[in-house]
Amino acid sequence: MGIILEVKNLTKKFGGLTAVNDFSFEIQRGEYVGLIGPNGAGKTTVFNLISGFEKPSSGKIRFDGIDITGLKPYKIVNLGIARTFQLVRSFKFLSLLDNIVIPCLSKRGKKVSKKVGAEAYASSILASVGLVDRARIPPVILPHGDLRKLQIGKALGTNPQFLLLDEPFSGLSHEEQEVLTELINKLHDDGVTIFITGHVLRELMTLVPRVIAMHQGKFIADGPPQEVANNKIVLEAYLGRGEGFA
Amino acid sequence: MEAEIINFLFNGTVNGAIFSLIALGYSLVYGVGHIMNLAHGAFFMLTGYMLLWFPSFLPEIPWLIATIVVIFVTIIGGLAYIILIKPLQDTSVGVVLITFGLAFFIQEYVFVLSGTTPYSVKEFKIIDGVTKIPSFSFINQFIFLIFASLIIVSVFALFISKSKLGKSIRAVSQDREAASLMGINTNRVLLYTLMISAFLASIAAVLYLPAAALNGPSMGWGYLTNSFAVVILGGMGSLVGSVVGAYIVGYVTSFTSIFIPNGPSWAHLVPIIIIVIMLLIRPQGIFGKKELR
Amino acid sequence: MVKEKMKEKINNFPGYLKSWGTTFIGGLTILCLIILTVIPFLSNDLKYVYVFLPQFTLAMIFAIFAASWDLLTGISGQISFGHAIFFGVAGYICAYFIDYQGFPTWVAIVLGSLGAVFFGLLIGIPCLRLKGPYLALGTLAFSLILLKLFLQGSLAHIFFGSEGISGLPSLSDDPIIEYFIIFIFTIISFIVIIQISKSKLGTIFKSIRDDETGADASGINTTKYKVIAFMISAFFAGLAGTFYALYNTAVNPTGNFGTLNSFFAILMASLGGLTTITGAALGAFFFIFLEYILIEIGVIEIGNLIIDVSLWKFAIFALILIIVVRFAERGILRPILEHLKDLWDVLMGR
Repeated sequence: MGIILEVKNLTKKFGGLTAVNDFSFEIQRGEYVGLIGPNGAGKTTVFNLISGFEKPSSGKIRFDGIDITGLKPYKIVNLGIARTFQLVRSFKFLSLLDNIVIPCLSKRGKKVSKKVGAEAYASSILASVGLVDRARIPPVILPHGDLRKLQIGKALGTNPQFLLLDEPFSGLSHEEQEVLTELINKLHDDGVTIFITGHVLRELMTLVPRVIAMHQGKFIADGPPQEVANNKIVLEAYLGRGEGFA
Repeated sequence: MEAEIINFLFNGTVNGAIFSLIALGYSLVYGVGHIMNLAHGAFFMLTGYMLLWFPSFLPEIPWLIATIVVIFVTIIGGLAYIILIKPLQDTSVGVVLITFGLAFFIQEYVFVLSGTTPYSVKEFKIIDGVTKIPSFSFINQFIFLIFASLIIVSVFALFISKSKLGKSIRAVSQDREAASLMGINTNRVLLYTLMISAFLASIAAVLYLPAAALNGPSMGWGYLTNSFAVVILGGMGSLVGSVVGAYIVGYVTSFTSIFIPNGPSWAHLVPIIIIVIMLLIRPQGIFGKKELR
Repeated sequence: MVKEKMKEKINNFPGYLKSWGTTFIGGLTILCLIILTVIPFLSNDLKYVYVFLPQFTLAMIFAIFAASWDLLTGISGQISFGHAIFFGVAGYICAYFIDYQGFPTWVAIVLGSLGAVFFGLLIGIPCLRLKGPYLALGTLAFSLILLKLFLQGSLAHIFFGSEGISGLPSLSDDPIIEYFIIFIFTIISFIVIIQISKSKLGTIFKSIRDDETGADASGINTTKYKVIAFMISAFFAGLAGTFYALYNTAVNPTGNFGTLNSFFAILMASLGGLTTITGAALGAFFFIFLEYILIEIGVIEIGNLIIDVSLWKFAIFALILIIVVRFAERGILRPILEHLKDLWDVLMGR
C-alpha cells in the first residue's frame, strides 16, 4: 500500500480571497475518498491545484513520491493523475471515439495503447463506459448522463492510477447516478485510487469509506462518513449555509 | 541636448494624449463586451478622410464639418455593432473576422476615393501657428490636443463612474448575466459602448490629424497596433491602465525616435517590442487581472 | 508487422482509388484534376497562354497559401491574421539566395520554406500565450511591424527598401511548364495537408481547437502541438510565398508582406468553408478569377457615372468576406457542393 498522494499546507490566494487555506491530507494507494464541503468551500480549487491547472501560493503536493507542486497539467496527467471537470467538457467536433483517442495519444496513454493501436484501445474504453454503440457520433447530441461517462472515458484513456472526479453526479437523474456509481466502483475494484467531490453529503455517504470535509478553504474533518456527518463543525458549516446534506 | 530633452518630453506627451484617446475606446469595448474591434483604427483613419471630403459639399465652417464628421463616425460605430458584431458576439472568432473585413472595406473604400497620396487637412486646426520659447517651438494644435485629451479623459472617467449609463456599462463589464438579470439591456449598453469608442477615436482624429497628415488608407492599422500595445501594457479592459499605458508607449516611442541612432525607424518597432515583452512576461498587463477562463 | 501493413495499404491502393473516384467528392476532384490537366492545351493564342493561363498558376499558389491558413486556423484553432509574414519571409529569403548568393532556384525554394518554418517558431512561441482574438491581433501586429521594418526607416535599406529585389528567374520561361510545376506542387501540398488533418496529429490539433483545457487534462502537451501546427502551416505558406516570388520574378514589401495577403488567405478559406482544406482551393480560384474579371471589365459607364471596377476589387472582396462571415458561417462554396452532392445522390438513385 503506502501513501500515493500527500498534500501539505496547501494554500491558494486569489487577490484578497483565500480559496484554500493551509490544507493538508494524505491518501493511501487504492483508497476511495470523498472530499465534501458546501458550495464555495474550495473543493474544485483543491482539484485544480492537484491537477496543475492552478499553481498554489504555498504548500507542497507529492504524488507517488514525486513533488508535483506547480507542474504543468499534462505532465501531471502523464504521471498518472487524471481528472474530470464539474462542467462537462468535450472535443465537440470530434467523434466520441476520437474524444477518447486523444488521451490515448498522451505519453502515458501511448504506453498501453500502442500495442493494440490508439483507436482499438479507445474503443475498448468506450465499451467499458458503455458508449461503444455511439463511437462515430459527436458529443454535442449526447444526453447529460452519457457526457459524464465520456468524461470518465477520457480520463481512463491516460491510464491513470489516481482519478479526481469533480462532482461527477451533478445534474444526473437517479438512474444515471446508479449507472455511473457502478462504473466508478468497478474502476476502484481494478485498483484505481479515487478522489471524488460532492456538495451533497448523501451522495457520497454510501459510496466512500472515508471523507475529508472542508469549509471556507480550511480542513475541518476526516474520517468515515457517518462520523464526519455527525461532526459538529461539519453540521454547522452546512447549516450555516442553509444547505441540507440529508 | 536641452532642446532634445524638451522635444522628447513634448512629443511623448502628444503621443500619450493621442494614444490614450484611441486606446481608451478600444479597451472599453473589449472590457465591456469582450469584443476585439479590429476596425477601431479604421474609424480613426476614416474620420481624417471625411474631413478631407466633406468640405466639397458642406458650408466651409470647420467646426460644423468636424462635428458632422464625428457624429457620422459615431453612427457608423453603432451600425457596425447592430449589423455586424451583435449577431456574432458569442463567437470571438466571428467578431474578429468581421471587424477585420470591415476595416479592410473602409480602407479600400477610402483608397477608391482618395488613393494613397498623402493629404493635409490643416484647415481644421483649432489653433494655428507655433509657440516659441528661446530654443524650441511648439505646435499650438498639439498643445491644445494635450489639454483637450486630459479634459476628455477626465470627463470620460466622471461619466463612467457617475452617470447612469456609465454605471450600467460597469455593471455589464463585471458580470453580463447578473447585469441583464438586474434589468439592464446589455445589448443596448454594448451599442452605446461601441458608439462611445468610435466617438473617442473620431475626436482623436479631429484633434490630431489636422496638425499631422493623412498618410494613406492603411494608416489605421498602425494606430490599431499602437492601441493594442497600449492596452496590453495597461491590461485589457482596464481604463486607468489604458491611459497610463498610452503615456508610457508615448514617451518610449518619443525617446526612441530622438535619442537612439536611426531613431525614427526603431520607433516603429516600439509597439511590437512592448507587445512581445508583455506577452512573454505578463500577458494580463500591468493593471489587468489575469483572465480566468 | 508495420511493413506488412504498408504492403497491404499499397496493394489496396488502386482499389481504394477506384472506390474513392466513384464518390461524389472523389469524382469531382478527379474531374477538376482532368480539367486542370487539359486547360494549358486548349488554345495557342498568346493572350491565353501568357495572360489567362498564369491566372490558374496564381490561383494554385494562393490555394496552397489559403490551405496552410486553414490548417492553422480552421483545423488547429489558432487564429492567424499575420500569415503574410510566412508568405513574405519565404519569398524574400528565396529571392535573396537566388539574386545575391547565386543559389539554384530549387535550393532557394527549400531555404525560403524552411525560413518560414523558423519564423513560425519565432512568432508561434510568444503568441502561444494568446488565445482567440488576442492571438489574431498579436499575429496581425507582428506582420504590420515586419512590413514597416521592410518598408521604411533606416533599417529598410538592409532589407532592400521599398523596391525589394527584382530580376528573379521564373520557374520556367514557358508558362505551360511553370503551370505544371505549380500544379504538381499544389497536388502534393493538398494531399499532405489533408492527410495531416485526418491523421492522429490532426485529431490532436482539432482537440486543441475544440477544448484546450480538455486536451491539457488528457495529457497532451498543447504548447508543443500548437508550435508544430504553426511550423507546418508556416512551411506551406512559405512554399506558396517562394512560388509567388518566382511567379512575379520580384519581391517587394507591400506585395509580399502586405496585410492584404493575410486578408486573401482568410477570405479564400472562409468563402470555401473553414476546416475543409479543399474549400480553400475553391476560394482561391474564385477570388483570383473574380479579380481577373474585374480588371478585364475595367472602366464602365452608367449614364454619367464612370466607374473603374478594378479599383473597387478589394472593397468588393472585403464586402464578400463580411457577408460570408455574417450570414454563412460554413462558407459558401463547400455547402453549395454538398447540395449538389445530395442532388447527385438522388440522380444516382441512392
